[in-house]
Amino acid sequence: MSRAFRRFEILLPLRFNDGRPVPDGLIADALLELRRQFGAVSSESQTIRGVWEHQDQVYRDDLVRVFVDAPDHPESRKFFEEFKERAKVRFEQVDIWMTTYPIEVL
Amino acid sequence: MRRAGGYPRGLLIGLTKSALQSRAQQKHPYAHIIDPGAVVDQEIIRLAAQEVLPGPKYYTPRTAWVLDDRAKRCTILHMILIRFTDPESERRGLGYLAGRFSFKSWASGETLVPQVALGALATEGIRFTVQGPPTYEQSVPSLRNPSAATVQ
Repeated sequence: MSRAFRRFEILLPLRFNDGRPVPDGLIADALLELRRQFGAVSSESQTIRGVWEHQDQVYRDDLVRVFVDAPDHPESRKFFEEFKERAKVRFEQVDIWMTTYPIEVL
Repeated sequence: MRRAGGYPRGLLIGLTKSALQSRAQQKHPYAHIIDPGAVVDQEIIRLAAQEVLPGPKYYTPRTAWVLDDRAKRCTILHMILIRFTDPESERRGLGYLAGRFSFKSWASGETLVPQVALGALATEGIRFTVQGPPTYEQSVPSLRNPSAATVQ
């Protein structure tokens, strides 16, 4: 029997916009919040280097991909929408890139 | 001439990850070739590796076979379950691991890390205990997303 889940992928910054490194504790707090909510959280080792333009300003990012498999319910989406807003404040970002797609767990 | 570790040199040079995976899957339908640092199904990789590229000295139980596309060489990756000794060590540990090593952490307190991360954690003074190798269910390979919707 398969179960319907949804994977939420979040790119968390490793540096603030002024170049200061994000303290490890800040990342850890975000991970622990996700783990507390959904039971598990995963992260990949590679640093994702991004460049994006916003209001005529170019931002260069060093990012880490974090992902959570959550039940495909509206409550999960609502949590992540609120988490995104908290993360924008926590990491002093204009935006936090977050994507989601359905998965089937066999 | 054979490379260190028992691989024929010609087998590795010029092989892409998808080509190597295709070869592995000819022998075992669930074989996967993974990127360094990814969480893997170790038992499946071990079976695929033994059947595709025999070399008992190079393969040991519970090892994962990883192709480094840049160097075209194979590395062995062990995944280990650990438990941080206290909440503060866990906070420091997870913060340190993010962006440096792949891992998965459960609310039970167990965290799955590559073996190479153990020394790094210890060097940072982050305290943990080793639980042992992961179960089959805990070794889930990362999925690659074909498409995704942005959460606005």
